[in-house]
Amino acid sequence: MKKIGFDPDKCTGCKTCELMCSSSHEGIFNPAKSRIRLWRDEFYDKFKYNVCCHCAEPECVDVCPVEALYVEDDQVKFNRDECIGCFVCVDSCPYGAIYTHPDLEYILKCDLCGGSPTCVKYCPFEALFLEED
Amino acid sequence: MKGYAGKILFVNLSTGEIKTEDTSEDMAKKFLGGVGFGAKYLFDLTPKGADPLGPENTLIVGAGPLSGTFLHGAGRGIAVTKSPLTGGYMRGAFGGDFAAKLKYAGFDLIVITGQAESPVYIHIDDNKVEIRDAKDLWGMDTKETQKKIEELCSGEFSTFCIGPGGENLVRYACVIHDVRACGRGGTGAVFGAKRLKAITVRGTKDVEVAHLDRMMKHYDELVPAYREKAAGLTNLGTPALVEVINSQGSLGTFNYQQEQFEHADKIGGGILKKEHWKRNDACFACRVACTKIDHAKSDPAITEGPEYESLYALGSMCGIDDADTLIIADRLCDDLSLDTISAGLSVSFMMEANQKGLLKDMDLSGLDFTFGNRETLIKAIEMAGRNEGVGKFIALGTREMANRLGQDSYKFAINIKGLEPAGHSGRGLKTMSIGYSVSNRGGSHHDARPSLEYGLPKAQRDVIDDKPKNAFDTANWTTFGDAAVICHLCEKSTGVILTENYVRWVNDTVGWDLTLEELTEIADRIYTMERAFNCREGVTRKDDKLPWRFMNEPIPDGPLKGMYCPQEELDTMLDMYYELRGWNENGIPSKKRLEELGIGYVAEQLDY
Repeated sequence: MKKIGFDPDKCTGCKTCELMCSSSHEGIFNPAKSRIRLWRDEFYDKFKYNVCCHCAEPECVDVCPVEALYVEDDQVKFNRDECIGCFVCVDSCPYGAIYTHPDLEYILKCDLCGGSPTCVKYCPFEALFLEED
Repeated sequence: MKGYAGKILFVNLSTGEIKTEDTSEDMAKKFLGGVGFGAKYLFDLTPKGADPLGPENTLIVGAGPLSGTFLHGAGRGIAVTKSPLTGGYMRGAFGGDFAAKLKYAGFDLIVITGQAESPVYIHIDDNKVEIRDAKDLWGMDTKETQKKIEELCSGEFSTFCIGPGGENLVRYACVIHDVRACGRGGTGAVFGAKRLKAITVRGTKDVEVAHLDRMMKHYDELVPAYREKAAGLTNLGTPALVEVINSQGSLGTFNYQQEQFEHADKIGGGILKKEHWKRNDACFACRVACTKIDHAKSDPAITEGPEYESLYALGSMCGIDDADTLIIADRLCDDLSLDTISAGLSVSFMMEANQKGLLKDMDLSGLDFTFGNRETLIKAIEMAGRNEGVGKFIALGTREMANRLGQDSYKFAINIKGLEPAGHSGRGLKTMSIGYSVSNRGGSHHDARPSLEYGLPKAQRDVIDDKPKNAFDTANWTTFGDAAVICHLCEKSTGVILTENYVRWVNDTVGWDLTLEELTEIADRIYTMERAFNCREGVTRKDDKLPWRFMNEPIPDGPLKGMYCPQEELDTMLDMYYELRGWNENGIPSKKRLEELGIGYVAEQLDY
């Protein structure tokens, strides 16, 4: 299974990933619409990240009432057109890696940009990378 | 008009009134944003002669049309106000992500007027803006303040705040966001005088741009340039300049009694990386990551930096040869909200006064102001920030300290219009000689830039012919940068003067069709507006000067031995510079030029 990996020793917290994610998916700049999130808990600390890891037993797929989330090609995929914005999946994800779109119309979940993630491509210091289990 | 959030927020701390206005396209086309809007509002809203620390002063904090995009350092914010240190126009810029979040909250700018009766902070959560009580935050240092606000709100907020230095109205108090400073000219004291402890912001709205596809293509073109030309900044950050500038013979040392420091290698980029470096950090939307998180070895202190300017001001200027001390002092300045440059040069002034035997009648609170005294540096900063003992005197800055001390001490008070200069020599770099002397802020290295002159041999540095134009061109670039708002440290990759790169950034973001000439005119208009603010306060040619030492004492030794900037030379450069700007022979923007720039109304308020 492919997912986006992270090396906290290389991450500088520039959030280029969040900007690239929101601009490539939504056509605007807005970290609140990014599918990947960076933060740190304390001054000077290393950054942490969160993004869908396309887990083997995705609870989000089980709870989705309209099959907007489904497994295909070893990935958890998302069909925006089907999503009814109930956000049951947001609460079900044990990793907290599904986000609510600020306009409350649908969810924000990593789709690996179809296989070649934009955030990985533009990470200035290769802190993000594509890994396969 | 894309790029802009579209609203300007007005907060009156005297009345508690909060209102918004649409960002006008007419103003955007004339002043772009950031410090451009700041210069316009400051001129229009702050009456002549207003007390910088009174309710009449205006405080502008904001972003620009490029803020919140993925362009270089587009999280950078600005603040504009009338300075309590210089009595003139002041702008500052600061890294982090505060300004990006302000845009995401839907605002291009915050214009703050009046004065609160008791401590408050401004809380912005998208459209919801409140003036909140800050009595419990008053007295806290900048880290405690930010942590407390995080507890009260959430970690998604970004905060711009003061510590005790700002509360105590230290004339060079700065404002801190995250671990970054909006450093120069006492903006923190203006916060303190308004009893404004902090501004905190969260936003979830979009920043829309006109031509994302074109911006993406341009971004791809620039990535290799950031990687290659900014590699030094990525590796060592600005501290690498300590060794470079010292070897070129223009590192201010012992309060500019010398321009080479014997122990530069003990406080420079090399030792910091080798023995103190923990990790690299970046501001929002930055591919360079010049920020170095360094730790002290003898103390739990961790700090962002110290940057080159702090190593010069607190280090070589005070004769301090110990990196640990400088890390602790830098951290202390940030916690207290003090500008490291002015703090360092205020202490180095005391040290030279002590050396010359001029402090015999002063109560020095038990401190020994001998150059190189590490403990004195730390204690003097702490006392200045906390308004205690001899710190009350040091908190005045070098111009006022010399006024009060007398005894010819003005000859070694190192400031321009009251603002202590950065570590780019006003003697060894003629661009900075003219650049500092005409700077609207005073001793700022982010008006004119030294970038075109470093590395040149003395023979070329001595020539003044091209230097006023260098100062004009580089100041137009930095003025644009602070209006846009983007970080100046991309200049190696995208241009140390205005270039087509910047034209593309603006046009692709906003959807305009500006030419390089038109963009240059915007920068020129902003700079002249700032100048007009100062002229209305009485600034003329007589004020466009350098510290006495820079104009009368040549650099004593080293590669640039003999260089200085005597009055005749400065006069020649001033004439050339005024002509480039369309200012008259007395340094006042001419009516004709103001009308050409579309700000003719300004002339009515100036004395010719």
